[in-house]
Amino acid sequence: MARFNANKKFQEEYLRKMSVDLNKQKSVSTGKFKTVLIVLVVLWLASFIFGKVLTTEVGDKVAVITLEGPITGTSDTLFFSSQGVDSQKVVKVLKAASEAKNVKAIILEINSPGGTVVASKEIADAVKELDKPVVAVIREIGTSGAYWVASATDYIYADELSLTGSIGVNGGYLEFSGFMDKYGVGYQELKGGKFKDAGNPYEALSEEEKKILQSKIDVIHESFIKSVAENRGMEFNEVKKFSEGLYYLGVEAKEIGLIDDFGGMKEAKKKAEELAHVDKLEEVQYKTKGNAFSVLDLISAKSSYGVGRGIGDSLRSSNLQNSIIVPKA
Amino acid sequence: MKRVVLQQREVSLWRRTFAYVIDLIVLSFIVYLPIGSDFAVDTEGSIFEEARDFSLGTILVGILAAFFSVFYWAVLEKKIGQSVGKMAMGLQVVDYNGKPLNLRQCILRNITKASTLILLVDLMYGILKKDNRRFFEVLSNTKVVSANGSF
Repeated sequence: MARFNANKKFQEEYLRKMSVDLNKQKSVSTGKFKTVLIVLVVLWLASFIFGKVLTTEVGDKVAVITLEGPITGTSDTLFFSSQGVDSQKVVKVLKAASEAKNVKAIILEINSPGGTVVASKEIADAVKELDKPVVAVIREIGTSGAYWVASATDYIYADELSLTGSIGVNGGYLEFSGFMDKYGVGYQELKGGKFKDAGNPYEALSEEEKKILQSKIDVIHESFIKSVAENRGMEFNEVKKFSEGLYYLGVEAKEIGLIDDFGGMKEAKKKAEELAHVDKLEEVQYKTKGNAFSVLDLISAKSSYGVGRGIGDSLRSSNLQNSIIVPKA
Repeated sequence: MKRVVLQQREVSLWRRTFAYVIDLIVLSFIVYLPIGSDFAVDTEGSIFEEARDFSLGTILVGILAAFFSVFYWAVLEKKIGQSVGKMAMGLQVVDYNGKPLNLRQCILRNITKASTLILLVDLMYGILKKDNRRFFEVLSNTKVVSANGSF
């Protein structure tokens, strides 16, 4: 009986200790949980408040998006070097600027001779869809597709000597059928459909093919004029008068209504503030992030420039630029 | 004073990496989203095509986010020896000599988490070392070990 009591006592003592240990562990876990919860709540509150304060205090901005070089549908990548304006990336950046709450206006800094039809139209359409004021600044050049984009903005600035306009479409290719004939090289082709190979470089275009291709160019041209007329609030026929593909200097462009005023970034920023009804906007560059090859891109671009300059120098030193022989009369 | 070297079981880099990833997820919801949502620009598409905003506001947001990140790890490790990720992976931060951790140690060992680039260099040091201690863990005289219990 005594042994039984001793066992019972031992068991009770063991269970009590176990219960104390469990409670201790439970309270440690609860304590940890509480600490984590407090730290997370404090951090969330601080982040939320600071985020709001920064948005309102440092917030109001004008996003500057640069269009430099020919406009294409994709990046023109040569080795690691990419040049020109990738319309898809620009549309993405425009969307980002449009969605950023603290961006009140957008400035398009244009220095481009234009580009492919769809890519230019794609950017112009994206600009038109923006619900924020957009101001264009044409620097050295903003012609053809680049002007199409500029025309979609609310206000266009250019220098008196900038090149702009060039509302026209051209399509062409190198045709060397005569060269092939001369050297007795033939081109054999099999086709299904009369016009399937229209525009192949090994054969001259027939009159019928020329007409068909020209009609397509005309449709694009008309669409370009229509779009510019709509964007600029002008009559179709008025724009058509200046749409023979000729480029205009800033002074001429202002006179015929292709641009609004002379100026650069400073004037554009002021106009953006005026259109956005904000006293002061901070300029911020919006651009696509460089990839892992950006450094190589930069190096290759610089080295290519170096190689190009070297070739140029050697050509100049050998007076090749003066080597055209003018026959004596 | 006699030096007491902790005999706790070494922890693998994988467990620590998972813990770090969990912490980053927690921080994304607790810090990065609330602080940066109004500054966030294009985040869709590949990471190489992210639009960037280099304004003063964004730089301040970056500095604050880095500060809050260090605060998260330092305070939790000082208070309970674990961050959420370390809890989930059953890890604990301890003083290398078995003494209680102080705040200076906790800040020092986590200071590299303010910058991914510096953290990578710090981590490379740890990978090359046998006991996998990062450089700033050695500096702060701390170590990550398996925790006795976790929730």
